[in-house]
Amino acid sequence: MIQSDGESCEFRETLRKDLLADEEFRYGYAESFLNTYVAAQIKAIREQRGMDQADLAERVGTKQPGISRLESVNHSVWKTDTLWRVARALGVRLQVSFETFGSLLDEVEAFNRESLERAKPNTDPKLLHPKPRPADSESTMEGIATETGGSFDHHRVFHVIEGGKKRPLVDQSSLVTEYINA
Amino acid sequence: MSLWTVYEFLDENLRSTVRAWLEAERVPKEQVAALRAKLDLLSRGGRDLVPDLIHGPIKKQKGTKQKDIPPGLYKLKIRGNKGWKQLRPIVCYGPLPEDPPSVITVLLGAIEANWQLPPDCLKKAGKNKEILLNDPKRRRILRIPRDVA
Repeated sequence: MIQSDGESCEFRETLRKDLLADEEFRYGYAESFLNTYVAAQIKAIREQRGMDQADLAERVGTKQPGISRLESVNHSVWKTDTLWRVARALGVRLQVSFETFGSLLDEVEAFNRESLERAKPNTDPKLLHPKPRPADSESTMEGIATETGGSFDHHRVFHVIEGGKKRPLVDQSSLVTEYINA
Repeated sequence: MSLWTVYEFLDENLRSTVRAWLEAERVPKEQVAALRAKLDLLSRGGRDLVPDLIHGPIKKQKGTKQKDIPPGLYKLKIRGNKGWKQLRPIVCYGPLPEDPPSVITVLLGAIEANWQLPPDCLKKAGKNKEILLNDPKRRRILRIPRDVA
């Protein structure tokens, strides 16, 4: 049974008020959330990789019951060394940071399989594709020229044809953008 | 959007039995919050993403013959670290016929001691399930309050 957006708003608003109102409540909630999140994410990424618990155990250097314990929402004693070994076995990195309780609202709402899964390095678009730097048009043009087997003359002035008239292209960054988007 | 729905059984005056249980057992506020967090994540992500929360079906209980254990009962496992109590609310899937597989109902609160559920708790939970099947008004979506005394 999928609840409506209205119920979702009510859920968030109730949680917001409760986290704000009581310190014991918010720490109890946040700690339980963290333990559940870590366990769920290990399971989700493991399944994303097509592994069973025994496969992951072998890569981590432990036994299957050890992975079963880590994938329990009731597990609460986490060692960063262990988490790093799991991260390495799954092809991801571990991040530990201190966060606000406000951000917890978004994290609870977004809790689903898709939000837990992570790409491996060889399928991570941010690792695979360099981001172009439009501000540095000359070096980008040089890169493009080299890539296409040509050369780039830094002293050459580019021209554009507008309304039948030729004029120097002062802002070469737009040329770069047009080339990249072509 | 929630994937799962968690209901609670209501008493004859349509009051929350979960709240009454938490108050009667004087469950610490932090542990109430921990229970709520787990149920919130169950509702958001579904059973697959909260491993080791729902256990069962329960087929054995000390002092009870197996044939006397009502079928289709499960327990939620919320481990009591920090000296907390071992919370084991008894639940069932559904149980109304029109309920999809992603619905559970908390039938009875329970505390596990020495790895044992309280005597007769499964019998009581089974009875609550029967009451609910005959009177669907005896449940509502579970909202665990922050301010349980």
